[in-house]
Amino acid sequence: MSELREDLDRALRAVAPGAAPVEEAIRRGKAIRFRRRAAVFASAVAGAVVVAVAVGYPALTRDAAPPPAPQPAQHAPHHDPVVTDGPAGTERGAQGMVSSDGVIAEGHIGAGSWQAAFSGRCFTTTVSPGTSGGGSALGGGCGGLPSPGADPADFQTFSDGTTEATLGSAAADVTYFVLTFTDGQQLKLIPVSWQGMRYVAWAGPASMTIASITAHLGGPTFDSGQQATAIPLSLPGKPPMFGIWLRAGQPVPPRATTIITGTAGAQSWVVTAYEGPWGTCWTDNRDGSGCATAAPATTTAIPARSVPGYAKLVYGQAAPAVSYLVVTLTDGRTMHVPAAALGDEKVFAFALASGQTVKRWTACDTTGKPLTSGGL
Amino acid sequence: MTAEPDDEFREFMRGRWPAMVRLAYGLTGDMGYAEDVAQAAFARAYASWGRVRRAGDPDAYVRRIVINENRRRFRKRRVAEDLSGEPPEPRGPDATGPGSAPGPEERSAVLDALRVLGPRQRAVVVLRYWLDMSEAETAAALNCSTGTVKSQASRALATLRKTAIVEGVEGDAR
Repeated sequence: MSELREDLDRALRAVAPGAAPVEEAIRRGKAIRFRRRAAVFASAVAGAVVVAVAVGYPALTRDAAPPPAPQPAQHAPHHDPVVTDGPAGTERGAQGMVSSDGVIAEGHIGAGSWQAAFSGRCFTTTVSPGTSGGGSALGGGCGGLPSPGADPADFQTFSDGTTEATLGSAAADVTYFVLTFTDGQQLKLIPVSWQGMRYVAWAGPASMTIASITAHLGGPTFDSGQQATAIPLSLPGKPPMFGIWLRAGQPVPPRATTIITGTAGAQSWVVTAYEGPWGTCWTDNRDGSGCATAAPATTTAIPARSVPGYAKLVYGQAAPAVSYLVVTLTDGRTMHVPAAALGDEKVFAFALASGQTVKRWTACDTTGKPLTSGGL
Repeated sequence: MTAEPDDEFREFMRGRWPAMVRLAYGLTGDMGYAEDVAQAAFARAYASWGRVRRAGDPDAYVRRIVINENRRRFRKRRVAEDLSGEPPEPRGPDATGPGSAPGPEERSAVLDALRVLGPRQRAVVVLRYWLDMSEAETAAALNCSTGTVKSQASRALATLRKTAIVEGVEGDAR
Protein backbone atom coordinates (compact mmCIF):
# COMPACT_ATOMS: atom_id res chain seq x y z
CA MET A 1 0.00 0.00 0.00
CA SER A 2 3.01 2.28 0.27
CA GLU A 3 2.81 2.88 -3.48
CA LEU A 4 -0.79 4.01 -3.18
CA ARG A 5 0.14 6.22 -0.24
CA GLU A 6 2.95 7.79 -2.22
CA ASP A 7 0.69 8.34 -5.23
CA LEU A 8 -1.95 9.93 -3.06
CA ASP A 9 0.61 12.07 -1.29
CA ARG A 10 2.14 13.24 -4.53
CA ALA A 11 -1.23 13.99 -6.11
CA LEU A 12 -2.72 15.80 -3.14
CA ARG A 13 0.41 17.81 -2.48
CA ALA A 14 0.11 19.07 -6.04
CA VAL A 15 -3.20 20.66 -5.07
CA ALA A 16 -2.51 24.37 -4.69
CA PRO A 17 -5.28 26.10 -2.76
CA GLY A 18 -5.81 29.82 -2.95
CA ALA A 19 -5.01 32.15 -0.10
CA ALA A 20 -6.58 31.21 3.22
CA PRO A 21 -9.87 33.13 3.63
CA VAL A 22 -9.08 33.90 7.24
CA GLU A 23 -11.33 36.89 7.75
CA GLU A 24 -14.28 35.12 6.12
CA ALA A 25 -13.79 32.12 8.41
CA ILE A 26 -13.70 34.44 11.42
CA ARG A 27 -16.89 36.14 10.28
CA ARG A 28 -18.63 32.82 9.85
CA GLY A 29 -17.25 31.59 13.17
CA LYS A 30 -18.75 34.59 14.91
CA ALA A 31 -22.10 33.86 13.24
CA ILE A 32 -21.93 30.27 14.54
CA ARG A 33 -21.28 31.51 18.06
CA PHE A 34 -24.17 33.93 17.74
CA ARG A 35 -26.47 31.09 16.62
CA ARG A 36 -25.39 28.91 19.53
CA ARG A 37 -26.16 31.66 22.00
CA ALA A 38 -29.48 32.33 20.31
CA ALA A 39 -30.34 28.63 20.47
CA VAL A 40 -29.54 28.54 24.17
CA PHE A 41 -31.72 31.58 24.66
CA ALA A 42 -34.54 30.08 22.58
CA SER A 43 -34.53 26.78 24.42
CA ALA A 44 -34.52 28.57 27.76
CA VAL A 45 -37.57 30.56 26.71
CA ALA A 46 -39.39 27.66 25.12
CA GLY A 47 -38.85 25.29 28.03
CA ALA A 48 -38.66 21.57 27.68
CA VAL A 49 -41.67 21.10 25.44
CA VAL A 50 -41.87 22.77 22.09
CA VAL A 51 -45.14 22.64 20.23
CA ALA A 52 -45.00 22.81 16.46
CA VAL A 53 -47.19 25.59 15.14
CA ALA A 54 -49.16 24.82 12.01
CA VAL A 55 -51.06 28.02 11.50
CA GLY A 56 -50.25 31.30 9.90
CA TYR A 57 -49.42 32.43 6.38
CA PRO A 58 -47.20 30.87 5.37
CA ALA A 59 -46.24 28.83 8.42
CA LEU A 60 -43.49 26.39 9.12
CA THR A 61 -44.36 23.33 11.11
CA ARG A 62 -40.99 23.57 12.73
CA ASP A 63 -39.84 23.43 16.31
CA ALA A 64 -36.85 25.00 17.95
CA ALA A 65 -34.82 21.81 17.95
CA PRO A 66 -32.04 21.29 15.43
CA PRO A 67 -33.31 20.04 12.08
CA PRO A 68 -33.33 16.27 11.66
CA ALA A 69 -30.70 14.72 9.46
CA PRO A 70 -31.87 14.84 5.86
CA GLN A 71 -33.37 11.60 4.62
CA PRO A 72 -33.43 10.32 1.07
CA ALA A 73 -36.56 11.38 -0.78
CA GLN A 74 -38.16 7.99 -0.81
CA HIS A 75 -38.10 7.89 2.99
CA ALA A 76 -39.02 11.52 3.60
CA PRO A 77 -42.41 12.01 5.19
CA HIS A 78 -44.90 13.53 2.80
CA HIS A 79 -46.26 16.93 3.67
CA ASP A 80 -49.07 18.51 1.79
CA PRO A 81 -48.52 22.15 1.02
CA VAL A 82 -49.55 24.27 3.96
CA VAL A 83 -52.99 25.65 3.23
CA THR A 84 -52.55 29.38 3.10
CA ASP A 85 -54.86 32.28 3.43
CA GLY A 86 -54.03 35.93 3.28
CA PRO A 87 -52.56 37.61 6.29
CA ALA A 88 -54.69 40.07 8.19
CA GLY A 89 -55.29 43.09 6.02
CA THR A 90 -55.50 41.31 2.65
CA GLU A 91 -58.49 41.13 0.41
CA ARG A 92 -59.21 38.72 -2.40
CA GLY A 93 -60.02 40.54 -5.61
CA ALA A 94 -60.18 39.88 -9.33
CA GLN A 95 -56.43 40.36 -9.49
CA GLY A 96 -55.71 38.04 -6.58
CA MET A 97 -54.67 38.95 -3.05
CA VAL A 98 -54.24 42.62 -2.27
CA SER A 99 -52.69 43.95 0.93
CA SER A 100 -54.47 46.89 2.49
CA ASP A 101 -51.88 47.56 5.19
CA GLY A 102 -48.60 46.60 3.54
CA VAL A 103 -48.27 43.17 5.17
CA ILE A 104 -47.15 40.72 2.52
CA ALA A 105 -46.78 37.58 4.59
CA GLU A 106 -46.36 36.44 8.15
CA GLY A 107 -45.96 33.14 9.89
CA HIS A 108 -44.26 31.13 12.54
CA ILE A 109 -40.98 29.33 13.04
CA GLY A 110 -41.60 27.05 15.99
CA ALA A 111 -42.66 29.29 18.84
CA GLY A 112 -41.41 32.42 17.09
CA SER A 113 -43.07 34.55 14.50
CA TRP A 114 -41.97 36.58 11.50
CA GLN A 115 -43.44 39.14 9.16
CA ALA A 116 -42.59 40.81 5.86
CA ALA A 117 -44.31 44.14 5.33
CA PHE A 118 -44.14 47.34 3.32
CA SER A 119 -44.62 50.84 4.56
CA GLY A 120 -44.95 52.93 1.48
CA ARG A 121 -42.08 51.85 -0.77
CA CYS A 122 -39.92 50.65 2.14
CA PHE A 123 -40.06 47.08 3.35
CA THR A 124 -38.78 45.24 6.41
CA THR A 125 -38.56 41.61 7.43
CA THR A 126 -38.78 41.02 11.17
CA VAL A 127 -38.55 38.01 13.45
CA SER A 128 -39.75 37.68 17.03
CA PRO A 129 -38.73 35.01 19.52
CA GLY A 130 -42.37 34.73 20.66
CA THR A 131 -45.78 35.42 19.22
CA SER A 132 -46.30 38.63 21.16
CA GLY A 133 -44.32 40.89 18.86
CA GLY A 134 -41.24 42.88 19.83
CA GLY A 135 -39.24 41.48 16.94
CA SER A 136 -35.96 42.55 15.44
CA ALA A 137 -35.40 43.46 11.81
CA LEU A 138 -33.55 40.99 9.59
CA GLY A 139 -33.27 43.50 6.82
CA GLY A 140 -35.15 45.62 4.37
CA GLY A 141 -34.86 48.44 1.93
CA CYS A 142 -36.63 51.19 0.13
CA GLY A 143 -37.63 51.62 -3.46
CA GLY A 144 -39.32 48.27 -3.82
CA LEU A 145 -37.74 45.19 -5.35
CA PRO A 146 -36.48 44.71 -8.88
CA SER A 147 -39.11 43.50 -11.30
CA PRO A 148 -38.82 39.77 -12.07
CA GLY A 149 -38.63 40.55 -15.76
CA ALA A 150 -39.31 37.42 -17.79
CA ASP A 151 -38.86 35.15 -14.76
CA PRO A 152 -41.65 34.15 -12.36
CA ALA A 153 -39.91 35.89 -9.44
CA ASP A 154 -36.83 37.73 -8.26
CA PHE A 155 -35.80 37.09 -4.66
CA GLN A 156 -33.79 38.91 -2.00
CA THR A 157 -32.77 37.10 1.17
CA PHE A 158 -31.98 38.65 4.54
CA SER A 159 -30.32 36.76 7.37
CA ASP A 160 -29.03 37.28 10.89
CA GLY A 161 -27.20 33.97 10.82
CA THR A 162 -30.05 32.17 12.60
CA THR A 163 -33.08 33.01 10.51
CA GLU A 164 -33.37 33.75 6.81
CA ALA A 165 -36.25 35.72 5.35
CA THR A 166 -36.79 36.03 1.64
CA LEU A 167 -38.94 38.57 -0.13
CA GLY A 168 -39.62 38.28 -3.83
CA SER A 169 -41.36 40.21 -6.55
CA ALA A 170 -43.70 37.94 -8.50
CA ALA A 171 -44.67 38.09 -12.16
CA ALA A 172 -48.24 38.84 -13.20
CA ASP A 173 -48.82 35.31 -14.53
CA VAL A 174 -47.91 33.50 -11.31
CA THR A 175 -50.84 31.85 -9.54
CA TYR A 176 -48.83 30.59 -6.57
CA PHE A 177 -45.47 29.08 -5.62
CA VAL A 178 -44.73 25.84 -3.81
CA LEU A 179 -41.50 26.01 -1.82
CA THR A 180 -39.97 22.67 -0.82
CA PHE A 181 -37.30 22.24 1.82
CA THR A 182 -34.95 19.28 1.72
CA ASP A 183 -36.63 17.82 4.82
CA GLY A 184 -39.88 17.54 2.89
CA GLN A 185 -41.72 20.52 4.33
CA GLN A 186 -43.58 22.63 1.83
CA LEU A 187 -45.04 26.10 1.84
CA LYS A 188 -47.66 27.43 -0.52
CA LEU A 189 -46.99 31.07 -1.28
CA ILE A 190 -49.70 33.20 -2.86
CA PRO A 191 -48.52 36.55 -4.25
CA VAL A 192 -49.95 39.60 -2.53
CA SER A 193 -50.22 42.95 -4.31
CA TRP A 194 -49.02 46.17 -2.78
CA GLN A 195 -48.96 49.45 -4.70
CA GLY A 196 -49.29 47.69 -8.04
CA MET A 197 -46.52 45.09 -7.53
CA ARG A 198 -46.97 41.47 -6.49
CA TYR A 199 -44.81 39.97 -3.73
CA VAL A 200 -44.27 36.75 -1.83
CA ALA A 201 -42.19 36.14 1.27
CA TRP A 202 -41.14 33.33 3.56
CA ALA A 203 -38.79 32.79 6.47
CA GLY A 204 -37.15 29.79 8.06
CA PRO A 205 -34.17 28.70 10.11
CA ALA A 206 -30.90 29.31 8.28
CA SER A 207 -30.07 25.65 8.91
CA MET A 208 -32.86 24.54 6.57
CA THR A 209 -32.03 24.05 2.91
CA ILE A 210 -34.38 24.84 0.07
CA ALA A 211 -34.70 22.01 -2.46
CA SER A 212 -36.77 23.92 -5.01
CA ILE A 213 -39.44 26.49 -5.59
CA THR A 214 -42.04 25.86 -8.27
CA ALA A 215 -44.12 28.61 -9.82
CA HIS A 216 -47.59 27.58 -10.96
CA LEU A 217 -48.44 29.79 -13.89
CA GLY A 218 -51.57 31.11 -15.51
CA GLY A 219 -52.75 34.27 -13.78
CA PRO A 220 -53.55 35.63 -10.34
CA THR A 221 -56.66 33.45 -10.08
CA PHE A 222 -56.08 30.90 -12.85
CA ASP A 223 -53.69 27.95 -12.81
CA SER A 224 -53.00 26.82 -16.37
CA GLY A 225 -51.02 23.80 -15.27
CA GLN A 226 -47.76 25.22 -16.60
CA GLN A 227 -44.87 25.35 -14.17
CA ALA A 228 -41.37 26.70 -13.82
CA THR A 229 -38.95 25.52 -11.16
CA ALA A 230 -35.91 27.14 -9.60
CA ILE A 231 -33.37 25.02 -7.74
CA PRO A 232 -31.10 27.28 -5.72
CA LEU A 233 -27.39 26.88 -5.15
CA SER A 234 -26.91 26.26 -1.43
CA LEU A 235 -23.46 26.93 -0.01
CA PRO A 236 -22.62 26.70 3.69
CA GLY A 237 -23.05 29.95 5.53
CA LYS A 238 -24.64 31.69 2.57
CA PRO A 239 -28.28 32.33 1.71
CA PRO A 240 -29.75 30.32 -1.17
CA MET A 241 -28.76 31.66 -4.57
CA PHE A 242 -31.44 31.64 -7.27
CA GLY A 243 -30.50 31.79 -10.94
CA ILE A 244 -32.53 30.31 -13.78
CA TRP A 245 -36.07 28.96 -13.80
CA LEU A 246 -36.40 25.59 -15.52
CA ARG A 247 -39.44 24.87 -17.63
CA ALA A 248 -40.74 21.56 -19.00
CA GLY A 249 -38.35 20.07 -21.51
CA GLN A 250 -35.55 22.49 -20.73
CA PRO A 251 -32.21 20.73 -20.32
CA VAL A 252 -30.73 20.90 -16.84
CA PRO A 253 -27.22 22.37 -16.93
CA PRO A 254 -24.52 19.92 -15.84
CA ARG A 255 -22.86 20.42 -12.48
CA ALA A 256 -19.41 21.90 -12.62
CA THR A 257 -17.20 24.16 -10.56
CA THR A 258 -14.20 26.21 -11.48
CA ILE A 259 -12.01 28.71 -9.68
CA ILE A 260 -10.53 31.84 -11.17
CA THR A 261 -7.89 33.76 -9.27
CA GLY A 262 -6.00 36.96 -9.74
CA THR A 263 -4.48 39.92 -7.99
CA ALA A 264 -5.49 43.54 -7.89
CA GLY A 265 -2.66 45.63 -6.56
CA ALA A 266 -1.46 43.91 -3.41
CA GLN A 267 -4.73 42.04 -2.91
CA SER A 268 -5.54 38.63 -4.29
CA TRP A 269 -9.04 37.71 -5.36
CA VAL A 270 -10.71 34.39 -5.91
CA VAL A 271 -13.92 33.87 -7.83
CA THR A 272 -15.60 30.46 -7.77
CA ALA A 273 -18.12 29.73 -10.49
CA TYR A 274 -20.75 27.02 -10.12
CA GLU A 275 -22.87 25.61 -12.90
CA GLY A 276 -25.81 23.35 -12.10
CA PRO A 277 -29.59 23.30 -12.04
CA TRP A 278 -29.46 26.86 -10.68
CA GLY A 279 -27.77 28.02 -13.88
CA THR A 280 -24.48 29.81 -13.30
CA CYS A 281 -23.57 31.46 -10.01
CA TRP A 282 -20.42 33.06 -8.67
CA THR A 283 -19.00 33.72 -5.25
CA ASP A 284 -15.85 35.63 -4.44
CA ASN A 285 -13.54 35.95 -1.51
CA ARG A 286 -14.87 39.40 -0.69
CA ASP A 287 -18.30 38.10 0.30
CA GLY A 288 -19.75 38.93 -3.09
CA SER A 289 -21.99 36.59 -5.03
CA GLY A 290 -24.43 36.57 -7.89
CA CYS A 291 -26.20 34.38 -10.41
CA ALA A 292 -26.91 34.75 -14.09
CA THR A 293 -30.59 34.72 -14.91
CA ALA A 294 -30.02 33.24 -18.35
CA ALA A 295 -29.36 29.60 -19.12
CA PRO A 296 -25.76 28.66 -19.94
CA ALA A 297 -24.49 31.28 -22.25
CA THR A 298 -24.68 31.10 -25.96
CA THR A 299 -23.58 34.70 -26.07
CA THR A 300 -21.17 36.67 -23.97
CA ALA A 301 -22.36 39.02 -21.27
CA ILE A 302 -20.66 41.05 -18.59
CA PRO A 303 -22.98 41.67 -15.67
CA ALA A 304 -20.76 44.17 -13.89
CA ARG A 305 -20.57 43.73 -10.19
CA SER A 306 -19.10 46.09 -7.68
CA VAL A 307 -17.74 44.98 -4.34
CA PRO A 308 -17.68 47.82 -1.83
CA GLY A 309 -14.34 48.72 -0.34
CA TYR A 310 -12.43 46.67 -2.83
CA ALA A 311 -11.34 46.83 -6.40
CA LYS A 312 -14.37 46.08 -8.53
CA LEU A 313 -14.70 42.42 -9.39
CA VAL A 314 -16.42 41.69 -12.65
CA TYR A 315 -17.56 38.23 -13.62
CA GLY A 316 -19.76 36.80 -16.32
CA GLN A 317 -20.53 34.12 -18.87
CA ALA A 318 -19.13 33.62 -22.31
CA ALA A 319 -20.12 31.50 -25.27
CA PRO A 320 -18.37 28.11 -25.50
CA ALA A 321 -16.26 29.21 -28.48
CA VAL A 322 -14.77 32.18 -26.63
CA SER A 323 -11.14 31.79 -25.67
CA TYR A 324 -10.50 35.21 -24.18
CA LEU A 325 -11.90 38.70 -23.90
CA VAL A 326 -10.17 41.94 -24.74
CA VAL A 327 -11.49 44.50 -22.29
CA THR A 328 -10.92 48.15 -23.05
CA LEU A 329 -11.06 50.51 -20.09
CA THR A 330 -12.17 54.11 -20.12
CA ASP A 331 -8.56 55.21 -19.50
CA GLY A 332 -7.56 53.57 -22.79
CA ARG A 333 -5.80 50.56 -21.29
CA THR A 334 -6.74 47.03 -22.39
CA MET A 335 -6.81 43.74 -20.55
CA HIS A 336 -6.74 40.22 -21.96
CA VAL A 337 -9.08 38.10 -19.84
CA PRO A 338 -8.97 34.32 -20.38
CA ALA A 339 -12.28 32.47 -20.41
CA ALA A 340 -12.38 29.33 -18.26
CA ALA A 341 -14.43 26.27 -19.12
CA LEU A 342 -17.32 25.54 -16.79
CA GLY A 343 -19.47 22.56 -17.74
CA ASP A 344 -20.97 23.39 -21.12
CA GLU A 345 -20.07 27.07 -21.11
CA LYS A 346 -17.24 29.50 -20.38
CA VAL A 347 -16.93 31.99 -17.55
CA PHE A 348 -14.48 34.76 -16.81
CA ALA A 349 -13.59 37.16 -14.05
CA PHE A 350 -11.36 40.18 -13.71
CA ALA A 351 -10.74 43.00 -11.29
CA LEU A 352 -10.78 46.72 -11.89
CA ALA A 353 -8.83 49.16 -9.81
CA SER A 354 -10.65 51.91 -8.03
CA GLY A 355 -11.86 54.44 -10.59
CA GLN A 356 -11.49 52.12 -13.56
CA THR A 357 -14.52 51.22 -15.66
CA VAL A 358 -15.05 49.10 -18.74
CA LYS A 359 -15.67 50.94 -21.96
CA ARG A 360 -15.85 48.07 -24.43
CA TRP A 361 -15.14 44.37 -24.64
CA THR A 362 -14.50 41.95 -27.50
CA ALA A 363 -14.79 38.18 -27.21
CA CYS A 364 -12.28 36.24 -29.33
CA ASP A 365 -11.76 32.59 -30.22
CA THR A 366 -8.48 30.69 -30.00
CA THR A 367 -7.25 32.15 -33.28
CA GLY A 368 -7.87 35.70 -32.12
CA LYS A 369 -10.88 36.12 -34.35
CA PRO A 370 -13.44 38.49 -32.79
CA LEU A 371 -16.74 36.71 -32.17
CA THR A 372 -18.81 39.38 -30.51
CA SER A 373 -18.38 42.66 -28.71
CA GLY A 374 -20.24 45.05 -26.52
CA GLY A 375 -19.99 48.06 -24.28
CA LEU A 376 -20.97 48.92 -20.74
CA MET B 1 -12.52 36.83 21.47
CA THR B 2 -9.64 39.20 22.10
CA ALA B 3 -7.11 40.23 19.50
CA GLU B 4 -4.47 37.82 20.75
CA PRO B 5 -6.44 34.57 20.26
CA ASP B 6 -7.71 36.01 16.98
CA ASP B 7 -4.14 36.48 15.82
CA GLU B 8 -3.31 32.99 16.99
CA PHE B 9 -6.23 31.62 14.99
CA ARG B 10 -5.16 33.60 11.92
CA GLU B 11 -1.67 32.17 12.13
CA PHE B 12 -3.01 28.65 12.64
CA MET B 13 -5.43 28.89 9.72
CA ARG B 14 -2.86 30.35 7.33
CA GLY B 15 -0.47 27.55 8.23
CA ARG B 16 -2.90 24.68 8.04
CA TRP B 17 -5.19 25.87 5.24
CA PRO B 18 -3.38 24.05 2.40
CA ALA B 19 -3.33 20.74 4.27
CA MET B 20 -7.02 20.91 5.12
CA VAL B 21 -8.01 21.86 1.57
CA ARG B 22 -5.96 18.92 0.29
CA LEU B 23 -7.70 16.58 2.69
CA ALA B 24 -11.11 17.96 1.67
CA TYR B 25 -10.15 17.70 -1.97
CA GLY B 26 -9.19 14.07 -1.47
CA LEU B 27 -12.56 13.43 0.15
CA THR B 28 -14.70 15.38 -2.29
CA GLY B 29 -12.79 15.39 -5.57
CA ASP B 30 -14.02 18.92 -6.15
CA MET B 31 -11.87 21.96 -5.50
CA GLY B 32 -14.78 24.33 -5.02
CA TYR B 33 -16.43 22.12 -2.46
CA ALA B 34 -13.08 21.35 -0.86
CA GLU B 35 -12.41 25.00 -0.13
CA ASP B 36 -15.97 25.44 1.12
CA VAL B 37 -15.65 22.45 3.43
CA ALA B 38 -12.27 23.58 4.73
CA GLN B 39 -13.49 27.10 5.32
CA ALA B 40 -16.56 25.81 7.18
CA ALA B 41 -14.28 23.67 9.34
CA PHE B 42 -12.04 26.57 10.25
CA ALA B 43 -15.10 28.73 10.97
CA ARG B 44 -16.34 26.13 13.42
CA ALA B 45 -12.90 25.91 14.98
CA TYR B 46 -12.91 29.68 15.44
CA ALA B 47 -16.36 29.51 17.04
CA SER B 48 -14.89 27.20 19.72
CA TRP B 49 -11.32 28.45 19.60
CA GLY B 50 -10.91 28.73 23.37
CA ARG B 51 -11.87 25.10 23.89
CA VAL B 52 -9.91 23.98 20.83
CA ARG B 53 -6.74 25.65 22.12
CA ARG B 54 -7.13 24.16 25.55
CA ALA B 55 -7.54 20.68 24.03
CA GLY B 56 -4.04 21.15 22.63
CA ASP B 57 -4.45 19.66 19.15
CA PRO B 58 -6.31 22.11 16.92
CA ASP B 59 -5.09 20.30 13.82
CA ALA B 60 -6.90 17.10 14.79
CA TYR B 61 -9.99 19.10 15.67
CA VAL B 62 -10.18 20.81 12.30
CA ARG B 63 -9.37 17.61 10.45
CA ARG B 64 -12.25 15.87 12.17
CA ILE B 65 -14.62 18.68 11.24
CA VAL B 66 -13.46 18.50 7.62
CA ILE B 67 -14.32 14.81 7.58
CA ASN B 68 -17.67 15.39 9.30
CA GLU B 69 -18.53 18.35 7.10
CA ASN B 70 -17.86 16.28 4.03
CA ARG B 71 -20.14 13.52 5.34
CA ARG B 72 -22.85 16.02 6.15
CA ARG B 73 -22.53 17.81 2.82
CA PHE B 74 -22.66 14.57 0.89
CA ARG B 75 -25.94 13.66 2.60
CA LYS B 76 -27.31 17.14 2.04
CA ARG B 77 -26.39 17.22 -1.65
CA ARG B 78 -27.77 13.77 -2.27
CA VAL B 79 -31.09 14.63 -0.65
CA ALA B 80 -31.32 17.93 -2.47
CA GLU B 81 -30.84 16.13 -5.74
CA ASP B 82 -33.33 13.42 -4.86
CA LEU B 83 -36.01 15.91 -3.96
CA SER B 84 -35.48 18.15 -6.92
CA GLY B 85 -37.92 16.28 -9.08
CA GLU B 86 -35.60 16.79 -12.00
CA PRO B 87 -34.50 13.95 -14.24
CA PRO B 88 -31.02 12.60 -13.69
CA GLU B 89 -28.48 15.06 -14.92
CA PRO B 90 -25.73 14.35 -17.36
CA ARG B 91 -22.84 14.31 -14.93
CA GLY B 92 -19.18 13.72 -15.42
CA PRO B 93 -17.15 11.63 -13.06
CA ASP B 94 -17.64 14.36 -10.51
CA ALA B 95 -18.71 17.92 -10.16
CA THR B 96 -15.47 19.54 -11.16
CA GLY B 97 -15.61 21.25 -14.47
CA PRO B 98 -13.26 20.34 -17.21
CA GLY B 99 -11.98 23.85 -17.17
CA SER B 100 -11.07 24.01 -13.54
CA ALA B 101 -8.03 26.14 -13.12
CA PRO B 102 -4.85 24.17 -13.18
CA GLY B 103 -6.69 21.25 -11.68
CA PRO B 104 -4.71 18.55 -10.03
CA GLU B 105 -7.37 16.27 -11.46
CA GLU B 106 -5.76 16.77 -14.84
CA ARG B 107 -2.38 15.76 -13.55
CA SER B 108 -3.01 12.73 -11.44
CA ALA B 109 -4.17 9.29 -12.40
CA VAL B 110 -4.78 8.42 -8.78
CA LEU B 111 -7.18 11.31 -8.33
CA ASP B 112 -8.96 10.29 -11.51
CA ALA B 113 -9.27 6.82 -10.13
CA LEU B 114 -10.62 8.08 -6.80
CA ARG B 115 -13.49 9.69 -8.65
CA VAL B 116 -14.94 6.39 -9.68
CA LEU B 117 -15.31 5.48 -6.01
CA GLY B 118 -18.36 6.33 -3.97
CA PRO B 119 -17.97 9.01 -1.29
CA ARG B 120 -17.56 6.55 1.56
CA GLN B 121 -15.04 4.38 -0.27
CA ARG B 122 -13.11 7.47 -1.26
CA ALA B 123 -13.10 8.66 2.33
CA VAL B 124 -11.86 5.27 3.53
CA VAL B 125 -9.02 5.32 1.01
CA VAL B 126 -7.96 8.85 1.90
CA LEU B 127 -8.13 8.31 5.65
CA ARG B 128 -6.57 4.85 5.68
CA TYR B 129 -3.94 5.20 3.00
CA TRP B 130 -3.11 8.88 2.97
CA LEU B 131 -3.60 9.93 6.57
CA ASP B 132 -2.54 6.47 7.71
CA MET B 133 -5.39 6.14 10.17
CA SER B 134 -6.07 2.76 11.73
CA GLU B 135 -9.28 0.91 10.97
CA ALA B 136 -10.67 1.91 14.33
CA GLU B 137 -9.76 5.57 13.83
CA THR B 138 -11.25 5.54 10.35
CA ALA B 139 -14.43 3.90 11.61
CA ALA B 140 -14.75 6.50 14.35
CA ALA B 141 -14.15 9.34 11.90
CA LEU B 142 -16.75 8.03 9.47
CA ASN B 143 -19.19 6.98 12.16
CA CYS B 144 -19.34 3.38 11.00
CA SER B 145 -18.09 0.00 12.15
CA THR B 146 -14.60 -1.36 11.57
CA GLY B 147 -16.27 -4.09 9.52
CA THR B 148 -17.65 -1.46 7.20
CA VAL B 149 -14.22 0.14 6.90
CA LYS B 150 -12.72 -3.23 5.96
CA SER B 151 -15.36 -4.02 3.38
CA GLN B 152 -15.33 -0.54 1.90
CA ALA B 153 -11.53 -0.53 1.72
CA SER B 154 -11.53 -3.93 0.11
CA ARG B 155 -14.03 -2.87 -2.54
CA ALA B 156 -12.24 0.40 -3.13
CA LEU B 157 -8.91 -1.33 -3.64
CA ALA B 158 -10.51 -3.82 -6.00
CA THR B 159 -11.86 -0.93 -8.04
CA LEU B 160 -8.53 0.86 -7.99
CA ARG B 161 -6.75 -2.29 -9.10
CA LYS B 162 -8.99 -2.35 -12.15
CA THR B 163 -7.79 1.13 -12.96
CA ALA B 164 -4.18 -0.02 -12.55
CA ILE B 165 -3.58 2.42 -9.76
CA VAL B 166 -2.69 -0.34 -7.35
CA GLU B 167 -1.98 -2.96 -9.95
CA GLY B 168 0.32 -5.65 -8.76
CA VAL B 169 -0.09 -4.75 -5.14
CA GLU B 170 -1.27 -7.68 -3.13
CA GLY B 171 -2.44 -5.52 -0.31
CA ASP B 172 -5.74 -5.99 1.37
CA ALA B 173 -7.81 -3.91 3.67
CA ARG B 174 -5.58 -4.71 6.61
